[in-house]
Amino acid sequence: MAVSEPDRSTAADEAGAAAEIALLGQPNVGKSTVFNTLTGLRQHIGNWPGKTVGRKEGWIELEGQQQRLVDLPGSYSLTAGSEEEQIVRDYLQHQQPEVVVFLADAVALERSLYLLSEVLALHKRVVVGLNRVDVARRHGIHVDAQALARALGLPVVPLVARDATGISELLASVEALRRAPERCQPSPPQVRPRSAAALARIAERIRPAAPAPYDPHWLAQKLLEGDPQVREWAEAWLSAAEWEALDDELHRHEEVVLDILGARCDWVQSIVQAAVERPRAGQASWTDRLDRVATHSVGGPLLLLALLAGVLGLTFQIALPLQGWLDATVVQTAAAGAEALLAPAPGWVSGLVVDGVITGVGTVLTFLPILAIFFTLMGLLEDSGYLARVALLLDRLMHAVGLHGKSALPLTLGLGCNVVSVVGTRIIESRRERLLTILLAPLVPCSARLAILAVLAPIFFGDWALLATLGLIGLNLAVLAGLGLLLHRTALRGESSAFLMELPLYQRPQLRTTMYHVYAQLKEFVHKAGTVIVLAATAVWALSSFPGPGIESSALAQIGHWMAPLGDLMGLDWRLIAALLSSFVAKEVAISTLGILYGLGEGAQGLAEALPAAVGPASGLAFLTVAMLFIPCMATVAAIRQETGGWRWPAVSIALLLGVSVLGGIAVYQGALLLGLGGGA
Amino acid sequence: MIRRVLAELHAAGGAVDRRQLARRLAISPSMLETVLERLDAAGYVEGVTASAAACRPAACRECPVGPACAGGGGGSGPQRLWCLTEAGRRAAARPD
Repeated sequence: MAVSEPDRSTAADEAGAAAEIALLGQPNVGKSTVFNTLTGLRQHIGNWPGKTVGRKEGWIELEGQQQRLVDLPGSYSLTAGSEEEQIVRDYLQHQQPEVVVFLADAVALERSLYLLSEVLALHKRVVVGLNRVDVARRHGIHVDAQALARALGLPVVPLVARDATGISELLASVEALRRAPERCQPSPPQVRPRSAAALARIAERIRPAAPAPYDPHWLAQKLLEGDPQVREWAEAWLSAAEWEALDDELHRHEEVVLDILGARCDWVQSIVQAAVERPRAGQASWTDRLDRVATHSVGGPLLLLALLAGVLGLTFQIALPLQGWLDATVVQTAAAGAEALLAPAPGWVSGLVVDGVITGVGTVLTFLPILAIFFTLMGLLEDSGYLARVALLLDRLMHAVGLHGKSALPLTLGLGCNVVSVVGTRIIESRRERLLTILLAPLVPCSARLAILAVLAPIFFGDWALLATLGLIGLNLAVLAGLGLLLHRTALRGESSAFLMELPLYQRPQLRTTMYHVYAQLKEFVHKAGTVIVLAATAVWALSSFPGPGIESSALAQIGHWMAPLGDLMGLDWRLIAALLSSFVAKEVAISTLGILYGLGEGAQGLAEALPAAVGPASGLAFLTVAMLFIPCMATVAAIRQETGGWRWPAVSIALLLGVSVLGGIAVYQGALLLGLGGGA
Repeated sequence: MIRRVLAELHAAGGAVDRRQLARRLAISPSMLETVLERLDAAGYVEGVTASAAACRPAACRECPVGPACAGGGGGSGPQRLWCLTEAGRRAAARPD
């Protein structure tokens, strides 16, 4: 058994110093500051024997005598989880310091008291230095030192270590305790009688073999806590048969550990209740009041729906006129100018530039006002702290369909981008849960699909755009939940559980922060328009122009006609199908494709005029349904391949979503026809 | 208290806000944090941490869940997300 024996070869030993004083506390509690203040330059720094952890000791004067002060490493508990924790408990048991100065943090007293509860199991002569009382006061936390002392049965000295306030009182308290050790009357945590009996039985099993100074009761507690070092010791001390019997006993009582931990926590709570006052912070109360609605099982979704309706309504109201103006003045003018400029060039050059690039990319860019307003409003909601509540609501939906709590975070990230969502599944260790989440991730309406919805819904549905948009998002989430439930109950069975998260306090949104995010998102969108969408628009134009003559004789039309029987069931003509297929490159490409395919030919007009004239509401609804549920974009497929290590799961994802979207499109189109909405494209 | 934390997590229909749970249990958020740390050490709850095998291809700072993940980019900050482990679910389901 390796026990840390402190290095005694110091100058002060030669001076004949007697027993030691130990300084103990959790990390960052101000221990070094107190140590330096107490010892000044009279310090010796080395290593704990056999350890890489530094050992500091110094000298203090108590009642005219030099006493060694040992600065123990900071630790949160006394289970052998780290070298520091092993050193502290070895020291307390083997060295038996005369007094332990325990530094507690007045700001986070609970954590300090938990460590103290463990220290008291090994050492009773403790003076508590209550540090950072000034910071606690500023946080509105009042710790009554006298009440704390009464509750603990130990002397307590308030401190502000960084300006040495309370240091002389601390020394005086240590001196007083040396003179009258009976001043310490702590009442350590007590486990319930049932568990106490189990602890006693285990202690009796190990008692005959346990060497001094180890307390069999402490060893029994640590064995039940699964302490690796104590298990190793016990195995070495006992015969094979004795160890086997003890191990059986430990397994029979494995949940006694909950009583041991629970007793310590209850003890901490009783001390805190006796000594700490925390006035309710106004900001927290404000957050609490809002959260009573925002996270309510009924009120929460209703508020989300109302906010979403508000965001979309405002987006449509403000941005649509701007979009129309941009289309009429910028795109149409640019197209006319380019056409005139390229008149001498071959026809295909003019076609490529005007009908392909300007119409395709221009159509996408005219929607920048829509995206700017949408992203700004969503950014304000995010900055206010509200969107974190959406994660909580989404998790409830996930839980209802049997998904593990860890799935909620990556799926919520999917509201921004599905690629991020797929990569985010790395937090899920279980392969089953991870695959299930990856398969569902592309069904979370990402910002690109929400942009398509925001752009096309007003074109297809006019005054009914808001209702249609909310309905389509609702349908998307319903399919996500339904598919999750189906997969959970069939192919990827398993148990779900809740998770605990930290919701941020609500705050007034910072316009500057929000605008920075909006700028970053629009920049990304424009960059995509200048790269991926230009290439895709060029390809779509080429496929829709050759071999010709006319768009109806193009290669794209031939592919589209080949898929016509399926399209007919959904009310989608070949151009709408081509737009859907092109969205595989990037979701926004569907808009540029529609711009090219519906803007080509004689009397070309903007998408906003051309589309409603050519596509009925039932077909429009079916198109948007399929677009929302359609196969993941290329980047998401690549992310799925990377995360699953092969092509099998990307293929499953594509097949699954293709089936779901086609079935969804057929159901919505046929249902819309039954309701009397005009079809036909 | 410690069994109530497990029971509340087990019974919750989805995500639970730490502040709301602390209020329901009539304890401070700092107390709940301490309880969670101890339950984590005993293997009854686990912090949401990206698995090393899954993380290998990318650096933590590039990971979208880095700020929330104890093992990743957010490792230096406080743990923000917790789940029940299998042992935690078993213990919570068993009557006290």
